[in-house]
Amino acid sequence: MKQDFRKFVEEKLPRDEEKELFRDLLEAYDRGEADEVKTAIQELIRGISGA
Amino acid sequence: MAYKISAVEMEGIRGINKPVGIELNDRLTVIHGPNGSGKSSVLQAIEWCLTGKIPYMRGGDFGKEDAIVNAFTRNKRASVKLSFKGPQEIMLTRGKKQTRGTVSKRYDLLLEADRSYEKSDAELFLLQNLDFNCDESGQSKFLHQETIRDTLSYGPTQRSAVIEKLLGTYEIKEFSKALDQKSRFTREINNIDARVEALQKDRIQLIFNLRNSLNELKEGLLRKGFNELHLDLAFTLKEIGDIRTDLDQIAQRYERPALMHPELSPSIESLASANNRAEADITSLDRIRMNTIGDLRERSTTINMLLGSYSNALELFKEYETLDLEDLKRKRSEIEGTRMEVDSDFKKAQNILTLLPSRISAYESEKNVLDSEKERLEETLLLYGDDPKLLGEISSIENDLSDIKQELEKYSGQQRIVNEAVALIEATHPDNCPVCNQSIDPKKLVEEIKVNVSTDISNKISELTEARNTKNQKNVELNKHRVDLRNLKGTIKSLTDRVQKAKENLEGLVGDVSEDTDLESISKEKETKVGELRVQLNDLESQFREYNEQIQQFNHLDKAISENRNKLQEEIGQSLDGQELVDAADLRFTEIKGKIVEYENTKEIDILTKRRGQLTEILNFLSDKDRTEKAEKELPALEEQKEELGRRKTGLLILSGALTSIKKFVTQYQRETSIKQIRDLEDMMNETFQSIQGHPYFSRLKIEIEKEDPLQFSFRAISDRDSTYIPTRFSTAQLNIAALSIFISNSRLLAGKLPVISLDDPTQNMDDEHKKTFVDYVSRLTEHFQVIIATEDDETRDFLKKELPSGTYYEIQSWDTEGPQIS
Repeated sequence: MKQDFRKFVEEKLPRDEEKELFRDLLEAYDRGEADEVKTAIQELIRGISGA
Repeated sequence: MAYKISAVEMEGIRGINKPVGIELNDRLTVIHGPNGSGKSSVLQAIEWCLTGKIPYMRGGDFGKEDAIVNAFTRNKRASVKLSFKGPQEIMLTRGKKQTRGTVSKRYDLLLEADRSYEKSDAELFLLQNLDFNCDESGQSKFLHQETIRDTLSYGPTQRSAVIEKLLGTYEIKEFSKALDQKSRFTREINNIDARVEALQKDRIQLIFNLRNSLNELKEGLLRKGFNELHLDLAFTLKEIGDIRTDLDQIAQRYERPALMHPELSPSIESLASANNRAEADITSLDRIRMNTIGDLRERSTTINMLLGSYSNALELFKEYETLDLEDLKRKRSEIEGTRMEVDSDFKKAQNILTLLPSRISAYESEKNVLDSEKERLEETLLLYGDDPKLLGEISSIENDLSDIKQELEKYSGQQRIVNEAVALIEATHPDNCPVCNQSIDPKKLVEEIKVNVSTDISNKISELTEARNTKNQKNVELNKHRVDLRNLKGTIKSLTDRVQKAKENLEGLVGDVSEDTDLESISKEKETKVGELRVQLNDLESQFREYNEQIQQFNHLDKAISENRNKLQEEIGQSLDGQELVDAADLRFTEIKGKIVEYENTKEIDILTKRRGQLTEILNFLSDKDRTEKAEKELPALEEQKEELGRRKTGLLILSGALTSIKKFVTQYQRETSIKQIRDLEDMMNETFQSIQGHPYFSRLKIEIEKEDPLQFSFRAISDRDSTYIPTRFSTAQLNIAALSIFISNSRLLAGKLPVISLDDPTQNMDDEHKKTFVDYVSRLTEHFQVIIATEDDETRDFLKKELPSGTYYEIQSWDTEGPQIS
C-alpha cells in the first residue's frame, strides 16, 4: 500500500494502542491481505471475549 | 538521473521453466507472440521481482496453489534477476520456493550495488535510490490485461474497483472493508450481556433469593414458637434421641421387638436420616396399633357371638333335659312301621277305587251288548228258522230251478228249429214243403209260423225265465240269512267271552260278581275305606313328625352346645363347661374391650408425630441454611466473573471503537488521496485520452465519487455540452483507451527514478486507426519512459517497428513445458 497511507492514519489516530493495532493489522494485510486482517480481528475479539 | 532495466533473467516463474534472459531496450522493448506463448510471463517476472507480488493473483484458487512457481520446474523454485543501469549498476534478484498458496512473503531478495542488500534493506535501497516503493509503485508501472478487461464489466462496483486499481487505492479499500466487523462485535457483546444476565439471574440472584427464603423460613419458625436454641444441631440431636426413647417404650408396650437405631452424628445428613427413620418407626407402630385393634375387635365379636349362641342353646336345652331320646326314637320307629303298612293299604284301596268305575263300566257295557245281540238272534230264528230249515228251503228251490232249466232248454231247441226253418224258407222260397212235400206258400207259411209257433214258444220261455229269476232271488236271500245267522252266533260267542273277561277283571277288585251283585254299593264301600285309611295315615304321619322334630331339635341343640363350647374353650383357653364357661368367656370379653380402649388411645403417637414434624422443619431450615451459606461463599467469585465479563465487554467496545476510528481515517485517506490524485491526473489523463483519439464527441474523461462509505467512483466522459457514463456510450476499444489514459497518466505522475511502464496487450479490441494513434503516443512516451509491451497483435508490432525501429523486438514462436522459445 502507499507509503504515506501508514503515516497519514497513524498521525490521525489519537492513542498509541490504536496506532499499534493499526500497525498489526497492516502486517496482517501484508501476510494475507483482507482475509488475514479479518482473521486477526476475530482472534482479537476471541481473545477479549474469551469465547 | 533515472534508472532503466537493462536485462532480465528468469527461471521457474509462471510459464517460464528453463533459464531464459532478455536484454531490454532503454526506450521500447516489444515481446510479440501468440496467445499463451509466455509474453505475459516475462512482464509478470519483472513485476514480481520488483514488487514481490502479482496483484490479481489472490483469493480463490490462487490461495490453494502456488501460481508463481512454474508447474514443471524441477527444483520447484522461481528466480528472477533484474539488471539496472543508471547512476550505478544494480542487480536485483528475487527468488522463492514453491509454497501451498500463491501469496507468500517467504522469498529471498538480494540487491547488489555498492554492496549486497537483503530483503528489507534491499527494499529500502530501492526506495532511497530509485524512488521505488515496492508496495505501491507496481500500481503505476504495470498495466495488466485483467485490469483492462475489468473496465468492460458492467457492475458499478467492479468499474469502481478498476479505477481504484489504476489509482493504487484498491488495497486500501480492501483493508478498510476488512476492518468492518460490526456484526461479530454485536454478536460477541450480546453473548457477554447474555452471560452476565444469566450469571445475575441464575446464580447471584439465586443466592440472594436463598438468603431471603432462609430469613422468611426462620421468621416463620419463630412465629410458630421455635426459638434460636431450637434452630441448632445440638438441640436436634437431643430431640432425635428423646424421640427414639419414646418409640422404644411404645414398642415395648405393643409387645414388639426392640427398634433398631443407627448411630447418630451431629450432621444434617445423619439427623435427617434418623428423622426419616423415626417417621418410618412411628408409621410402623401406628400400623401395628391399628392392626391390633382390628384383631381385638374381631376376637371380642367372636367371643360375644359364641357366648350368645352358647347361652341360648343352654337355655333351650333345659326343656329337653328330661327327654328319653332312645324311647322317643323307638316310638318314632314303631309309628313309622305302622304308617308304612297303612300307607300300603291306602295305596291299594286307592288303586281299587281308581280302577273300579272303569271296570264296572266295561263289564256292564259288554253285558248290554251281549244281551242286545242275543235278542237279535232270537228274532232272526223266529223269522227264518234255524239253519236246517233254511237248508231244506234252499234245496227245494234248487230242485225247482233244475226243472225250469230243463224246460227252458226244451223250448229253446224248438225255437231254434223254427227259426232255421223260417230262414230256409225265406232263403229258398220252396213251392213244396221239404218235409211233407206239400205245396206251400212260403211267404204265407213264414207268416203263420212266426205268428203261431214262435210266439207261443217265446211266451213260454219268458214265463220260465221269470220263474227261474224268482227262485234264484229266493235262494240268494236264504243263503244270506244263513250267513247272518252264522255271523250272529259267532258275535254272541265272542261277546260272551268278553263279558266273562270283564267280569273276571271286576271280580279281581271286588270278589265274586253275580247278576244280583250291587256294584254301586261296593263302589261306595271302597270309597269309604279309602277315606278311613287316609285319616289313619294322616294321624300316623303327624305323630311321626312330632317325634321326629323333638329328636332333631334335641340333636340340634346338643350339637350347638358342643360346637360353641369347643370354640369358647378355645378362645379363652380353659376347659370349662356350662355356666362356668359362660362366666369365664364374659370376663375375657370385658378384658378385650379394655385393651381395645387402651389401643385406641393415639395420644402418644400423635405427640411423637408432631415432634417429628417440628424436627423436620428445623432440619429443613438447617439444610437450607447450610446450602445458603455454601452458596454465599461463591458470591465473591461470581461477582468477580461478572466484573470480568464487564471488562471483556468494555475491551470489545474499545476494540470496536479503535477499529471504527482506524476505518474512519483509512476511508478519509482513501478519499482525500483519490480526490487529489484524480485532480492531479485529470489534465494528463485527458491529454493521453485525446492523443489516442479516445472518443470523437466526448473528448474528456472525468472520475467522480458517486458514493461514500464505501467509496465508489464513476467513470464519466464529457463534451462541451453534456456528459455520460463511459460504459453506456463507449465501445470496448474506447473503454480500453480510457483505462490506458488513466494508467499512463498515473505512471507519469509517479515515475520517480525508475520511469518504466509495462503494458500487457494494450491494444486489445482496438481498430487500426486507434492502434496507430496509440503507437504514436507510445513513441512520444518513450522519450521519457522505458516502455515494455507484450502483444499478440501483428499490426501493433508492425506499427511500433515502423515508428520506433530502434526498439528491441522479441518474437516468441511457441511454448512448451520447457518454457517460451524467445528469439
